[in-house]
Amino acid sequence: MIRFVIRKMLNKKWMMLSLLIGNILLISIAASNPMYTDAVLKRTLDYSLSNYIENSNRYPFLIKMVNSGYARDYNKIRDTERMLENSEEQMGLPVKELICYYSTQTLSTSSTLERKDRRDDLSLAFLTDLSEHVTMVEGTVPSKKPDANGVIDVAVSERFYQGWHLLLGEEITVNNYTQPNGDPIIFRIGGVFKEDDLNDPYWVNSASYYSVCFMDPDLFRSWFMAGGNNVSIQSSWYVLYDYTDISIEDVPRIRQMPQYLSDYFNASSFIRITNYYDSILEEYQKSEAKVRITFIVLQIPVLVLLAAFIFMVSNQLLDMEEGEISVIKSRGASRGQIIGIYLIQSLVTVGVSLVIGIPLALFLVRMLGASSGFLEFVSRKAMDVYLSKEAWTYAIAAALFSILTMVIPVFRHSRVSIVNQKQKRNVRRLEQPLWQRLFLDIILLGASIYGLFTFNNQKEILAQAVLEGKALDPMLFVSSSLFMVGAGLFLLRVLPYLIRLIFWIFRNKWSPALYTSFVRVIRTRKQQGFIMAFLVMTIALGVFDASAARTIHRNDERSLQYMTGADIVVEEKWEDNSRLREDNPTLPLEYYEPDYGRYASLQGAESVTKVYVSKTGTVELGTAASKLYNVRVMGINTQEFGHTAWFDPELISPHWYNYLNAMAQRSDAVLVSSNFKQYGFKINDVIYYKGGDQNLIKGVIYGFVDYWPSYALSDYRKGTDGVYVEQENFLVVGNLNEQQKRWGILPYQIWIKNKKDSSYIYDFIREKNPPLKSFKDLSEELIAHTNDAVMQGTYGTLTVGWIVAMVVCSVGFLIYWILSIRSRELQFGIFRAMGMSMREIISMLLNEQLWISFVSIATGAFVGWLTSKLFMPLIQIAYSSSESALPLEVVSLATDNLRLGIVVGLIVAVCIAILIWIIRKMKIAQALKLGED
Amino acid sequence: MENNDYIIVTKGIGRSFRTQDEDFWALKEIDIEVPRGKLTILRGRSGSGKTTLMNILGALDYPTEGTVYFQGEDLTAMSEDKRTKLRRTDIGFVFQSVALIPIMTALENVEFALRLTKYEGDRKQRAMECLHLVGLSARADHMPPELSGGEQQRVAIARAIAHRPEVLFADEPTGALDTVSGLTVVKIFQELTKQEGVTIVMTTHDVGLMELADRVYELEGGRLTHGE
Repeated sequence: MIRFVIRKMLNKKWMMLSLLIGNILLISIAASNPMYTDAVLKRTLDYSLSNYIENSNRYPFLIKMVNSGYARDYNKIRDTERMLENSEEQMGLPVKELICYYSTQTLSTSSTLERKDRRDDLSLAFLTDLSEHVTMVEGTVPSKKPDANGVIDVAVSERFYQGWHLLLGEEITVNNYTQPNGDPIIFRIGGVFKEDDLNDPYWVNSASYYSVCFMDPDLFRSWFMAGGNNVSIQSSWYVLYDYTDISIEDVPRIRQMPQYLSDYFNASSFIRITNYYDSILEEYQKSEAKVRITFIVLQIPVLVLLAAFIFMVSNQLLDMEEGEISVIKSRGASRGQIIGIYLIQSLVTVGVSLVIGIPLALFLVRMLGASSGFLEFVSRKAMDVYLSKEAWTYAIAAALFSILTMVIPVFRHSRVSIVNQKQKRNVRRLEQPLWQRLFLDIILLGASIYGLFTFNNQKEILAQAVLEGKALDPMLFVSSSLFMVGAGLFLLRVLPYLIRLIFWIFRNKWSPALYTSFVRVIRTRKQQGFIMAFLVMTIALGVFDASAARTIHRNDERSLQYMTGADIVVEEKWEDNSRLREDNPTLPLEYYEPDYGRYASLQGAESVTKVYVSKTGTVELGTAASKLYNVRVMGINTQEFGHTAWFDPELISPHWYNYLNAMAQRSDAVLVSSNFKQYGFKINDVIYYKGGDQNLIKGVIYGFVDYWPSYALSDYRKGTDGVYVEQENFLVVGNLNEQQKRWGILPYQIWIKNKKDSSYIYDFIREKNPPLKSFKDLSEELIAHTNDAVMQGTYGTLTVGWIVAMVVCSVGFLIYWILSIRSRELQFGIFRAMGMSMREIISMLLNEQLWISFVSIATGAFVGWLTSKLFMPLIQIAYSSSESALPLEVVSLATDNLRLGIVVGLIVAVCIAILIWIIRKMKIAQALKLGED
Repeated sequence: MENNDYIIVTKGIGRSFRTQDEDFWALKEIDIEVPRGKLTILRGRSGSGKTTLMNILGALDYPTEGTVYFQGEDLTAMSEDKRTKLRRTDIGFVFQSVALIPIMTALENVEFALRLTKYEGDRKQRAMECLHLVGLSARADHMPPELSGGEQQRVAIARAIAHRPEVLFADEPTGALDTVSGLTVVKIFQELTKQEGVTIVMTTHDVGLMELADRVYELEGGRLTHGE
């Protein structure tokens, strides 16, 4: 039977190839999802870890245990040490280094040198592998054995040495304790050390932390931990774990570790466990959940599309083979056997697809790893890709799903017999497709519009959820997909009436060729229905994906530009007279302005301006003693500001230069945010404001603005109850000169517009080394944003979605048309015999293409555009920051549409070329022979 | 070659097909004359070359050698455009397999032929007239799948004659039909030659239909065995 199936498959090689393409894509996309997600997450984790190291200069994977209670229970101490040494399994990370720090209780001592400026109680201690991590300032490392006189050399830190007034070479005897064998404990200050490398994670505590005398570990153990002298011991452990091979799957286990340890020690109060990594991992886990859901949800439409494609192709195949099925059945094959044949066929298909799809998935993930934006690739560090168990699970789930998609239609088709197959052919093919009879389009549209409506009313809740680290409600994405399908189908319901109308209006004008093609388009809707629906969906998805990616990117960029205010924003740390004021508190606070000239003269800067910014301003509200706090107060030089700041003139009308010009007319003129109107302020009203601790100064309102560089209309702030609430922001912009006249010169920001790139500012900082309080480089921040896992994944998934949509669209289109032409060869023969010229037949086909393909493509583009217009404002929420600054602008890039146009145009051109080739090749006499059964 | 009595005259035509390594001659040395306004039958077993011959006579195929004169003009020397035009205006075809356009009603099928020839008069009236001629005016609005085989063949005949061609070629028009329907079709052909003055060339393997013909050519193995 298998041979029969394979022969049958080879016979229908083109159909099988398309089926294979569909399956390969389905499987590889399903398998690539978890792999890609993992890879992106791994990259994020690595990034945040290296960021942590850079910023805090600490080794993140450290567990610190300080024990104050074991005292003389030496076995317990040894057990703990052993347990930690072997903690790889619990932690999921290999132990890089276990540093034990054991020290004795303070021991009363007497020294050979008697001095009164020193206390004589000292501790002896050891630190694992100390000698390997120190540089000796003087003397030697601790000796391993007592010398001939029974004296050992100990080493001390520089700080302890100086602070305790020790002397190199002085011998110290412990008073009340002896060695286990009864010999006295005598030690000599043999060396003074400092850290070999300050960045060595070994130095969990810096050397100066240790105010003890370090001796050899083995000696320490044999003297104090073998019993005999009953010295009480303090023990601390620092476990450094090697995280170079950290896998994201280990994260939950690693976070469990402190709890595990705490349980292990029965939560005893004398053991304190601390670690540095938990906050990083907690943050990571929050984003992980979000990333996972977002990636799956983004990929749902593509998977649905592929399933539809597989369904379409296998149905088409079954239609073609209906005759064969009925023949096999008439020869006594059971339904089960027929289903068996198709089951084997689908198993073979899926098997081959798995073999090709899995490597393809790996390739896809690598390619995505190199994507920097939508349809943009850069060469960068390769992604950490591995075939996880999850990837296999996804791939096999997709394979099973595909088998079902391919086999289920067989149940219907296997019922045919020769008799009813002939009958079926005789039925008029004019009835409406199933979805139309079920009003599926109306139902889907209704459901998705209801969803859109509900979500629009819950925008705030959505935004809050995102801020709390949750992923955006998947239902939102589902609604947008449903909308795409619903709107596409609805248009397909309506379009035929339009075509009919056009046909009817010019009914007496059509040439025979156009007449035939119209009759065909109108009367064979059921056959065209699927290809039309399919084209609409693929194109809609392509347009939507492109637009979604662009919109997210553009809005992110725009809001970053807007919120930063200019290409570069620097603020220096200003010197002030606070030293003097310590002695004389009545002195007013005064700042010493740094040299502004060196910024103004920067070569790479196109324009530079001073901007006073305070977020803690105060405004007096009318006569009532009520005041508005936390007002954003800005002071600007209008002309320079206009040249330097980033601002989209579309945001306010008239052009914002008009506002700046108005302000320039009067020194005390101010612009205020529009929300001041709610307190009854009008143009020309007087407002009293201040930026900080100064006196209130008068401002005359010259304009109300909704937007202003660096001003966010509202923030989401975490309230006292931990819930995010939206808070309105207020803004007052005044003339800097006036403010400086009244308040004196206060620290201001320097806003710079670049001529080209921002490299000059780094040269400047390196050279002049100014004390910077804050520094923002817009171009750097934009890069950081693009490296964000969610952003990256979104662009990647959307890129894949787009490419798949195009591939599937091309293959589907070609199959449909080639099959359609093939099945109509006899008819073309008749047309030719009846005296239709080749040109007329081609024009007939082109007209069909126009009304079937072109109309579908246009519809698809429209539906995609409409979907992004309606849903992007909501989806965007998932990607916006806590400062919802700007109104959303749905972007569709001409280049994307051009790409889409080129791909589609190419497909159509190839298709038409094939059609013409088939028709030209066709011999009338031979075509007619086809009709002779 | 001017002879008004014969609408088609062939001179030594032959047609070969390339098979794997040698040429196979489906027709050889065929000289026939088709009398105007009469019913001519090409008879032969299947594989005898009669369909090939008819395709050549009807400008659907080219002979490998020899010439065909259609109303005195050399068909083999005509451009493809001219042959297309000739098929459109002067020739009508009825094929062995029913070759109606499945998405058009009987009436529309007939009308379509008129559209093709840019028929000047009232297309609908002429189409109905032709359907009436084949006795199917009552089923004008039916789709082809709703008609029986014989009825479909009759619609095909109506379509083939609607634009008043000079010659109607019919390839085994009775082949797929039962005896009664077959006889009806041939009776219609007889009527047509008388009423509309159409020349009809049909192929058949049915000996029983011979007596209805004005002229019979018999083919065997691609050669004429008997001409009358």
